[in-house]
Formats: sequence, structure tokens, C-alpha cells
Amino acid sequence: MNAYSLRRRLMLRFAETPAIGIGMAFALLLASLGLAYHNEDQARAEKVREVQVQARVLAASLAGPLAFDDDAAAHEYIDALKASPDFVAVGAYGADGHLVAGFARAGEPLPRINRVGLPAVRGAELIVTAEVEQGGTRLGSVYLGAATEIWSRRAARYLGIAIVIIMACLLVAVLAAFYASVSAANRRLQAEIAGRQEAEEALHQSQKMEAMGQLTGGVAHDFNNLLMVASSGMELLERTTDPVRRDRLKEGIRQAIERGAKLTQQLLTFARRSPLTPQVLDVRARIRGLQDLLERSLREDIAVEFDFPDGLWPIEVDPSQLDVALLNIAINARDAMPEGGVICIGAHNHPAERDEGDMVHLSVRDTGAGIDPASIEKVFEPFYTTQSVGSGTGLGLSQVYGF
Amino acid sequence: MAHLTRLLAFAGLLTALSGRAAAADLPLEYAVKASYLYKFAPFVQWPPAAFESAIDPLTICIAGQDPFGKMLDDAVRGQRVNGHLIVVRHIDALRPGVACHILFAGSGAGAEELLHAVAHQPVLTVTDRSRGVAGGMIQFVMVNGRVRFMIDQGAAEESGVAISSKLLGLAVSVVR
Repeated sequence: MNAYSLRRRLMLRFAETPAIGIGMAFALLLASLGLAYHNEDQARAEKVREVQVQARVLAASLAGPLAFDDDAAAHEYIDALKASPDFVAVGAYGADGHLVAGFARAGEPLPRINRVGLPAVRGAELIVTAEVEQGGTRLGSVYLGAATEIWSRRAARYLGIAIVIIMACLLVAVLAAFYASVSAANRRLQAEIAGRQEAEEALHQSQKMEAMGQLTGGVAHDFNNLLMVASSGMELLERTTDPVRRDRLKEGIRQAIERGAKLTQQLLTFARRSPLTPQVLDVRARIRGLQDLLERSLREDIAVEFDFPDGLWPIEVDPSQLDVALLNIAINARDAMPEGGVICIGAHNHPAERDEGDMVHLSVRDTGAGIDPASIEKVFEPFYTTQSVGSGTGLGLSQVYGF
Repeated sequence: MAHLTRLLAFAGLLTALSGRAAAADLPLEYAVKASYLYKFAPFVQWPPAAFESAIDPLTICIAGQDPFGKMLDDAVRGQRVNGHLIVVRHIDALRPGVACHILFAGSGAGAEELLHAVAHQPVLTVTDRSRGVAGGMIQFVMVNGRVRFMIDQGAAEESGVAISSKLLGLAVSVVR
């Protein structure tokens, strides 16, 4: 695991530096240099072989003229080679090693005495010598000087391909640098996305807290009422001895305490910081369970109605997010109805269309003032609010949108 | 008359001078011929039966009057052709046990007889026209003061001796 992550980090580091690309470009350059050297070497060996063959052919044809001092024939054979500009010097030597016939173009003159040896390069000349032999008898030797390609012409020949290779190397290096920079940018982007996600989560939490704040007022009032019921019940309990009345009072106190406990439970559940965990649930039961919480966050002059037909499909949703969204919308509706009114929460099945899946359509409707067309586009913007400073954050509906 | 006498005398002197010059040239001419005589060997192929073994010497037989003397012996000393050491023998008649590969027939009746005797044996016969002997497969001639040769390829083939085209190419004439 450790080794794996280390290797991964190393690879990342490599990807972010153009080292690999530059290395590849260098390797490419080296390979082409090697290839060029190899080619050059082979071409040279081939040239040597070629000239050696020509020297042997010349030696064979000169056997007779050298043996029988036929200078005219020797000249004829040698002059035949004059036609080729490749041969800069050709000489035929007798058995005693002295020059019999030959020619030398510009450059070094023919040696007076020929010494047969291995092919040699003298300046721009490849010199090949061969024995003239017939039937095992040495009759003389030949000397062949062939022009080799001069350095500058060879360089010119390689220049074109060298330019192509260098361009390719540059391209590889540039691509590698580009890839490295893209890779680095990608990593920064990933980090930024992670940061954004964190911030979004924090925002969600704060939105929840906002809803909590809204709730608190109603809940405190409710608790007060419940406590009032309980404490007055206790007082009455102490004053009376009638068992029937005492039982009724005890029942009333227990109910008040139970409602208080339930309320607390709901608040705790709501406030708990929980990640988005979708689960399959019955939307009707869930929203009905929310009724107490809704009533406490709304005013007495606002009634809540439910419109859930039978046979509603179960839905997959994060329950706490659904609660918060509904609460936010309900609070929004409450603020839109200062004179009081009705909030109607309804749902109906929405069968699949095109490539979407089956859905349940959930709607919240109020009897308030409505929203003017200019504002309707902005309702989901964070921090957009029509309320005065201090009475709202403008985050409620943006949470709904995020959900 | 006196004039004529002087002219004659001059002509005589000229003749004498040219004769001396020819005499001086003679050793050089024969040295060349001697070296050619053994240099023919690499260009000629004898049937395998001509040699008893691979290390058998290649024999140059001189029949009749020998114009070369020591020059030929000097020329062939240590020379080898296809591994065969070259030796020179002087003969006056064919004897069993003495194989000739090259026969040079100098002037003399015996020499011409020998030439006829080996006509159908694998022997390369060489004669010298300038010495008045003809009939060899290779005949020395003088062309522009240089030693050249004529080749009778038909006679050579008849006797089983193959002459290289390289040698044929150098001959002043080839009879097929």
C-alpha cells in the first residue's frame, strides 16, 4: 500500500515535469545518431567491398598485359576506368613493384612502388590494392584510388533528415511540457473541487441551522405550553383527592411530557449533521411525521393541508434533506402570507418519460401574495431575499435548489 | 667512281653498325623470350593426367639449339605455377619417364622431329619464327621491335592443352 502510493506519487511527479518527454526526445536523437553512424559505417564497408571487387576485376584483366609487357593493352584496361569519375588514381605495377601504366587525377600522384596491403583511407581517397595473379604466379599488382564522399557533402545529405528528427524531438519535448502543465492544472482543479465540496457541505449545515433558528421560536413557545400544562396539572394533582380526576390529570401530564419528548427527538434528528444518505421511504408517512414540526414553525393562522392520493409510489431520497427543504418552503410560504392562509402539500405519481425514471411529483402551494416575474428567476439564488435585513438569510430556497 | 666507292663504304659501315646493334639487342630479346616461356604456364591448363601428383614439377623442355643459355635457368629459379615447381630440361629425343609440359623447339632437324612426335600429347609447343622454326602452338614473332607471339589454338585444343582467353587476347594472331 505504502509502496504503491509512493510509486503513484513518483509517477505524478514525473507526469508534472517534462523530464520523461525530454528523455524520450533525447533517446530519439541518440537512436537516430546511432542509426546514422551505423548506416555510414555500412555504406563505407560497402564502398570498400565495391572498390575491392573492381580492383580484383582489373587485376584479372591485367594479368596478361603485365606478364607479357603489353603496355598498350594495360593502358586500354586502365583507360576504361578513366570514364568513371569515382576513380581518381589507377595504377598497374609489374612483378618487381614498379609502375607500368596508370593515371592520377588531381591530388596525390601514383606511388612509384606499389605495396599491396589492406584498404586505407587517405584524405578523401579510398585506396585499395590487389595482387595480379595467374595460376598461383604473382605477375604484379594494381593500385586503385576511389573518391569517397567528402565530409561536407555527406553532412548536406544528412541535414534534411536531421532537421526532421530535431523537429520531432522538439515536438515531443513541447508535448511533454504541455502535458505536464495540463496535468498540474488538473491536480489544482481537483483540489479546488474538493474545497468547493467541503464549502458546500458547510453551507448545507448552516442552512439547516437557519431552519433550526426559525423553528426555535415556535418550539420554545410549544415547550412553554407543555411545561405549563405539566406544572398546572401537578398543582391541581396536589389539591384534589378524587381518584378519577387525579387519573385524568396524570394522563394529561404524561401526554404533555410525551409530546415534549417527541418534539425533542425530532429536533435532535433534524439538527444532526448527516451526509446525504438516500433511502427508500413512503413520502406520505414521512411528511405526516413532519406535521408537528411544521405546525410549530408556522403561525396559528396558517393551516397545513395534505393531499396524498392512495397508491403513491415509495421514493428514494435523503430524508433529512427532504425535511429541511419542505420546512424551508413552508417558512417561505408563511412569510408570504402575513394575513394567514393555507399551505397545501401534495404529491402524485409521475410515470417515466423518455429516458427518465419513474418519479413522484411533490408540490407545495400557498394562498399568499405570489412572486412577481422579475423576482422569480432569482428565488433560488443564494442570499436573495425580499425581507428586511435581520429577518432572513436568503438561503432557504437555495438549499431547496441544491437538494 | 670515287663517289660510288665512298657510298659503298658508308653502306658497309652502316651494315656493320646495325649488325652490331642487333647483336647487342639479342640477349635482351632472348631474356624476354625466356621469361615469356615460363610465364605462358599460368595461362595454360593441362589435362589432369599430365601431372602424376600435385607436387610434380612443371617441366620446360628445350630441344635443338638452346638460344637462352643461363637466362632461362635464372628466370625460372624458384618459380611455381599452381604449386608446381618449374624445371628446365634439355632433351634431344623423347624418353619414357621424362614428361614435357612445354616444349621449346630451337633450330635443328631433331627439334622439328620432336615437334611432330608430341603433336598429339598434352604438350605446349613453342617455336621462334625469328630463328626460322615454325609449327609450334605458340610462335614468337617480333613486332615493332617487341617480342610478341602468335597462337595456334586449334593445335592446342587437339592435344588437350587449354589456353586462357587472357593469353589469346594478347596474341598478334590466333589460328582456330
